Amino acid sequence: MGKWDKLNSEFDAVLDNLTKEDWIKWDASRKDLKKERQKELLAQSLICEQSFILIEDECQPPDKYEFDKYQEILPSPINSGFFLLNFHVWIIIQNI
Amino acid sequence: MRLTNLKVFHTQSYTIPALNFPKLATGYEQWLGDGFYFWQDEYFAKWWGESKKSNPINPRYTIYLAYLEFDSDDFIDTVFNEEDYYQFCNNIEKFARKCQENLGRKPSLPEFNEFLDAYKLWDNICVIRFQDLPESSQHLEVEGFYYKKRIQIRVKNPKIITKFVLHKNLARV
Repeated sequence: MGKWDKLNSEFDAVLDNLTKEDWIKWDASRKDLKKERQKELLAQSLICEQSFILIEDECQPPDKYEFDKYQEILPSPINSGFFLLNFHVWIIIQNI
Repeated sequence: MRLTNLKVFHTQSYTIPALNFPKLATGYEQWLGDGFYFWQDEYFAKWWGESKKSNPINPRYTIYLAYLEFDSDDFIDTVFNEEDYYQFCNNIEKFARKCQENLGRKPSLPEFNEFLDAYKLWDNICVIRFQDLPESSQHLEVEGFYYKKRIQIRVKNPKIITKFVLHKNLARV
């Protein structure tokens, strides 16, 4: 069944079966129904927004992530200093 | 299932922090009821920012970029799909005739949307693409020739918004 076959059959089924009383009832209640629908949409929207915020918190931007990764591999100034100090101590020991 | 992807624009007033998610539009002004509204073209996203989302006191506005991903069967494209356009018109007119018969008056735009919602019609349709015409020749390169479509996209189901990012912070000219 094509998209419009399905949409039209549902649409026609509702339109063709509504009585005048149904129309009047719908007309009287449509604003309340709209408020209910708005609440549902707002709740769905908040859930989606929260999931976007959570994903953003979990994922660092790619360039920052790359930088942090290299920070672990490359010697930091403190590590470099510590390495040079050890190297000098080793040379002094060798020369004694 | 055939997936459709759309890259669209959402304009809002400038805020700190920037939005994480598009703003839900509610009320009676929207042409297809409550939902998330996007512009197909950046040009009109900018125009919307200039004309509705900024003012001389708060001149800044923001254009966001959003990516939508959804099943093609859940999409009514009244702009580029001929069948969708004619079926869409037929349904609106069918509803209008029944409303006239039973309530004795022409329905309004909000009533059409409320009817769809009340009877859960087109419930699976998460995206509708719709157009009107630019309001003035200001947007046209040829005077008085309305060759350009002002295209908007209404999203009902926020789950199909897969990405939403700040595109540009701008100030009205």
